[in-house]
Amino acid sequence: MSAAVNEAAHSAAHTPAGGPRPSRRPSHKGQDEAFLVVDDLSVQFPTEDGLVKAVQNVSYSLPLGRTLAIVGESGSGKSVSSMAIMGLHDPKRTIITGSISLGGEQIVGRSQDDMRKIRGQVASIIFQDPQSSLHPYFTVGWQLREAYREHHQVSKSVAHTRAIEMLDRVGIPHPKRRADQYPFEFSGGMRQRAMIAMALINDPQLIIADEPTTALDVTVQAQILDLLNDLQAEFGSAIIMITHDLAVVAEVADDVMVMYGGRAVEHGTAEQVLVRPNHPYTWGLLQSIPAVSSEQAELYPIKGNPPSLLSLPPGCSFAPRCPYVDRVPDGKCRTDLPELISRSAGDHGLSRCHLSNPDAIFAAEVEPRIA
Amino acid sequence: MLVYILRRLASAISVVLVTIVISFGLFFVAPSDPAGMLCGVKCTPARVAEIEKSLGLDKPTSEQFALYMKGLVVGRTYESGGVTRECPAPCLGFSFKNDQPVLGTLIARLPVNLSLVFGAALIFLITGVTVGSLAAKRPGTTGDRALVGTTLLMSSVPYYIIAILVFLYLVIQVPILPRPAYVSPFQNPGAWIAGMITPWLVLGIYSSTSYARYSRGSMIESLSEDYVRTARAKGLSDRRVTFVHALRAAITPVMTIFGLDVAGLLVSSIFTEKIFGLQGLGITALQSLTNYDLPLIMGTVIVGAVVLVIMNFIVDVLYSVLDPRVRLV
Amino acid sequence: MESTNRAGQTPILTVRDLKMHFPVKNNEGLLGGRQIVKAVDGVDLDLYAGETLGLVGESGCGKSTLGRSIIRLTRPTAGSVLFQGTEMATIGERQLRPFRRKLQMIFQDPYGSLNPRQTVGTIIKTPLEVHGLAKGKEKERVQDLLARVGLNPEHYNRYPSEFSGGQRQRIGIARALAVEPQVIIADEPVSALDVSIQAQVINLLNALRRDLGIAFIFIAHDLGVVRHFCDRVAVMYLGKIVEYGPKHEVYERPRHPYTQALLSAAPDLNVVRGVPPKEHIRLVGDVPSPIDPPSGCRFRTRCWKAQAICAEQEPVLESRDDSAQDHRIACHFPAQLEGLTAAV
Ligand SMILES: Nc1ncnc2c1ncn2[C@@H]1O[C@H](COP(=O)(O)OP(=O)(O)OP(=O)(O)O)[C@@H](O)[C@H]1O
Ligand SMILES: Nc1ncnc2c1ncn2[C@@H]1O[C@H](COP(=O)(O)OP(=O)(O)O)[C@@H](O)[C@H]1O
Ligand code: SF4
Ligand code: SF4
Ligand SMILES: [Mg+2]
Ligand SMILES: [Mg+2]
Repeated sequence: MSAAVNEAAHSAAHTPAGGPRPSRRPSHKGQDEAFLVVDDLSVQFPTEDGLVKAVQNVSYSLPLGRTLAIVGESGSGKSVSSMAIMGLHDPKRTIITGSISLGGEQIVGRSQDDMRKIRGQVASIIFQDPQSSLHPYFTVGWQLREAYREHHQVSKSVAHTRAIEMLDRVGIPHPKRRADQYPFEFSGGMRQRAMIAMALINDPQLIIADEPTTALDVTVQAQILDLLNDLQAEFGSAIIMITHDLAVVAEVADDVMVMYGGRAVEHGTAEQVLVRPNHPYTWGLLQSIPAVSSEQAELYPIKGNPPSLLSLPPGCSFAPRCPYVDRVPDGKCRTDLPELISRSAGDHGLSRCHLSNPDAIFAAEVEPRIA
Repeated sequence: MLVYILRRLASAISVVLVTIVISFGLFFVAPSDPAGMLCGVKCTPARVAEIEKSLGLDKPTSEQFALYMKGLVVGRTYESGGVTRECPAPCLGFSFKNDQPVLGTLIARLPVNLSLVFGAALIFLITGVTVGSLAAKRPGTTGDRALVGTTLLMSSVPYYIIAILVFLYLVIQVPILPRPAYVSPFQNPGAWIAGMITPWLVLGIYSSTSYARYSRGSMIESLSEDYVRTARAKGLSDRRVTFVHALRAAITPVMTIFGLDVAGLLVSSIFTEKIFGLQGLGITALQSLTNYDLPLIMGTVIVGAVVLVIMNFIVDVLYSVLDPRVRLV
Repeated sequence: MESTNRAGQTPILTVRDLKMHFPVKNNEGLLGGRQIVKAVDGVDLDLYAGETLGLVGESGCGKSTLGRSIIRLTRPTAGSVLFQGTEMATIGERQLRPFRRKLQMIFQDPYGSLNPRQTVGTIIKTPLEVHGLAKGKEKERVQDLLARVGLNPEHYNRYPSEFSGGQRQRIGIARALAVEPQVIIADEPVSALDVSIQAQVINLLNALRRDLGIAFIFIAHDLGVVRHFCDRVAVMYLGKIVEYGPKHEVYERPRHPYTQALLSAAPDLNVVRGVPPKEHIRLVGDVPSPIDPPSGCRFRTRCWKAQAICAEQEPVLESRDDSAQDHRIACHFPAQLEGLTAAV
């Protein structure tokens, strides 16, 4: 590697350079005491066109050290539900019901001043587009310093040292020099690293990553996912990973919640949901995504389009697109909203579907791709 | 940076040069009869020729232009009626009308415009941006609607009507505001303020509504930016989010308009000068045109071009300071 | 699929040493200098009738630019594009006219590429009129096309804004189909679509290929989608093709370090469903600037196998003694690596 001394090569921690690296697939860790408990959360926005029911009756819990992936199509309520945890919705224009408990503290209904102490300190968020999420007119170091000093009574120089330390930790080469640069001088991957450094600068216990790699190339995506995984192993934080990409879910998640039309339609461990799905929507997604590592003769798309949150159908919101509506007697799919409960015997997650034995139905379908 | 400044300087000089050539062409070559006008009613052709000679208008245009340029760069001497007058560089010549050196006249009037702009800009920038930012935070509320309504109302009433009304009612009829007059701030700062406060308030408040509107639009945009959301997610206070993060980005486009407005006001604020009886550059330019006082016309054009070019340069530098992405390599 | 042996067949489209360079301004020096972005810098490709060639690579490596210069949306700086024996890279706009209809493009952005003020009917009819096709029966033809791409023929008088992303992409496809093209260059046609909609569009493209025999150059960054849809794959890096071959070869026996890194980095559903991969290759840093690409092998600044020769000599894209004949690799050390992806 003669002239290959490009600066990135300095970040030895991230230079497996062909050498084998442990798999990113999580082992089942944590699992004990829940740090985050979301219970029956609904988020609605009154708009001129009517009430947008962006999130309805979502419940889950997440212990420290564990990763929950929230997966769904755009507009399914993934971001809205996690912004509620950060208290980032405008209270005057949002109706939030249900409860969110973070480390034992109730969040719904708290004042903005109270929330400010939690934001960036107890819980941090990493946004999708690192290009637009960093302020273009301030240096990266300035922005990190500000995040640290907001929650710590320290001098500028102490905060600056801390900022450089964090930039180094997330694998940005020459962190000292980089701290004085502006975001536009960074590449996309480095910007996202800087965002992560800023999110982690106060050692938060919960990290919400809202599509953190959607705007990045695969090779950079892999770097960022590895980084989040390493940081979690080191600091034991809980991670909510929001994504629309089931393959990313497969790579990083312990638990998975599938959202559709603002509701959780399936919820379980990654293995339960991705290998033994119990909801027709999850099954449909799995049938329609070609994997990189296996040949697939046919894709089975889900027909139709995602629903409008302004006029969700009564009953199951997936009914207009579901190929199994007729398997449920009395047209119940169109009238009764199914509950999110366990549906089949065996190791399956919870699913919001009236089918009594989804497992058997899917298994009997077109040659299943799963082993 | 130095290279950038040099490049800007080169382009600035060429802009000024082009302006000079074009206006010289327009005013000196175009058919006109300044000598006839100066000569008055009882005029003989001989007298006209004499005046033309004394003004140098009898020479070929190219020679006149060469002389003019020479005057600008190294200065020149004028001879008329046996008297020789030195006109050091940058020489803009002598007024046809009153024989005063043009440069001196213009320099004497510039402080009026400078003072006017200084006070008014302070008022309209600060109130405009503050009001606009506050309105942007709650678009659609009563306060915001009131602001938008007022600016609409203001922009539908011509400025000179407001200025005349204020002058008639608040200065003459019910003398709440002092009568405008220019006194140099270095002679008597108190009198300077007292003399300028009326035009400052009128021009400042009138223009602040449009600044409030620009800033409001610019702020609404920047408040919805992802990086503002990031700032809130860091736990920053609402005030810090608005006035550090959002305003920092919103102010940049406003500064561009500001620079151009200031440049415009510096060279001409005819209504303000005329209505409030201040002898500024705008009035001078107007008078020079009605008198066909060629040297004065050329002088105001050149000074105007120079001021605009300088302001543009300042805006560019300011822009690069505000927005690090516009790098001055 | 039939792609591996092409002996005796003549390609419908032959690209040789194609270059697309863009001059860009910079602010250095008194007058400002000019630099050259070498977006595409010497590409060879063959496309056979009815086949699908996938083009993958990181953002900015030149995939779209290559596509656009092949169909002459931009005039290439150098090189040759032979379409059924005619040189397309250099001929004038007028001679190009008849070829325009044979080569069509579908774009990524289903929102930006349709004129919002035109009805769907007008959008699809315009290319028919331009090329004087289906004279007098335009409306029927458009309605056929709408049905063909899975839209309701009654949608003729609607505006694009009334359609969802997936439907708009279908309109774009119908517009491309209107002139009965032989080659379609699809630039990330499903990237902007929702997961559940992507498969609908892929299946539609698949049906068109089967029923109408259209050849595709399919640009995508999703390696799973490319594996599903394409017969052959070309991997691009910084304006050059680094590996090129039948998809089985490229996906199962990748030999270029960059291809190996891409496959290893791609997130994979089978990680939970099967045996996780044995190898994990992680590249460091980012793609260098195409303005001043590294000497020799362009990948060497990120390659873990780089040697001195890699900086001195540019590797040629060619097949190897132990590789399939139509599997070409541009690397001085093209070794095979096992276990890069999960096994099912
Ligand atoms: N008109 C242009 N002028 C200057 N540079 C250009 C121009 N068009 C493209 N480029 C540059 O050429 C390179 C290749 O661009 P291109 O759009 O082909 O990439 P791509 O592989 O399609 O990327 P993506 O995956 O992001 O679509 C980039 O570095 C781009 O910035
Ligand atoms: N402030 C808001 N006002 C009205 N509707 C909103 C607002 N924020 C989000 N929504 C709507 O809520 C739904 C869910 O959004 P979101 O959670 O961002 O989706 P995603 O799953 O893609 O992250 C979308 O239909 C979106 O348009
Ligand atoms: S409840 Fe009915 S419509 Fe809904 S997913 Fe189950 S079978 Fe389909
Ligand atoms: S030629 Fe050298 S640098 Fe390039 S890919 Fe092969 S081994 Fe790596
Ligand atoms: Mg989202
Ligand atoms: Mg592209």
